[in-house]
Amino acid sequence: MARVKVNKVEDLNLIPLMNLFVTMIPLLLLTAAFYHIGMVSVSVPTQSTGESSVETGKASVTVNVKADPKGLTITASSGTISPDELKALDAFIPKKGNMHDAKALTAALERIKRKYEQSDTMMLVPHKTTSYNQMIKLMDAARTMKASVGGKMRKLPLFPVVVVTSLVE
Amino acid sequence: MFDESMGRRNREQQELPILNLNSMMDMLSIILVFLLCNSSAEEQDFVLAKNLSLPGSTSKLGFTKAVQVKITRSELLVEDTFVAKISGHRLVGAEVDGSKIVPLFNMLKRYKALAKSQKNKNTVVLQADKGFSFEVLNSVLRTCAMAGYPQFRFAIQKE
Repeated sequence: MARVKVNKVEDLNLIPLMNLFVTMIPLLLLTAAFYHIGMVSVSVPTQSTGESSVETGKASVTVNVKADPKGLTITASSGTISPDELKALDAFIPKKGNMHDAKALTAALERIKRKYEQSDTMMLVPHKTTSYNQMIKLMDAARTMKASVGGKMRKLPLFPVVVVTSLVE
Repeated sequence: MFDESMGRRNREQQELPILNLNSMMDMLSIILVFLLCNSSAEEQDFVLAKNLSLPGSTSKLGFTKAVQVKITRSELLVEDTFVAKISGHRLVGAEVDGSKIVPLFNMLKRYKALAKSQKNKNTVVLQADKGFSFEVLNSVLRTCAMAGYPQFRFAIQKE
């Protein structure tokens, strides 16, 4: 008499995998970061006796943004551009309520960047009453701009190098 | 002799119900993937000081390992060492020489002398409460620069 083979489906043993999960989840929960910390790179000017690092061959400007209780005053400085041309870049952005107008700052810096593409440095001169939070918002506004590259909107660097002015000797 | 009802009872006792773990496995897998995506080895080194709230920023720059200066609402610290007391967002009782905060300067000079790594040797990671005015911040920045740390990484909360 021929034997009939019965194909019995074995259940997968999930217990070891469960053990692994139950160990890993508390471990990850303990080390999980529910807030994400980032950094903003800033420097302060220092006195140096070396040669200037400013490139004299390319037309570039350093943008000075002075934040005071009335608003933002934008000026530009450069070793290669005439004072008349620099004067044309000056702008004043009045405060919007209690806060500085970050969008208008981005737009003003964008105009300068489009004219002098090599520029990347912003000197931020906050007023003594300017809050740290407000300073960070101004740096954010100066970091990137949206521009169309090959038909697509991309974020391009605007003035990512920030120097908070206070000369240290 | 076993009667029929006794045999049925025995069979019922032997057939243990099988626990269906599939739903549990699905749930644990989702939690595990979520936690793995959220965990970052870099941020393990960063200890956020108590009694401060960082400003939010769109910066994408990651964490840098360097000397940490913390300006909380109650004290000024270098790493976790007390430097000066702060009250009402102002330094209280610290010796100040011009714009130099003397105890902070001395502490940073000590750290500079002890620094083993050349990487980020001129950099300070600054954790400061978002409510501080530039007046306080400026004296800290100036003091750090005078002590040989002119580069800064301002700690922010990513938005």
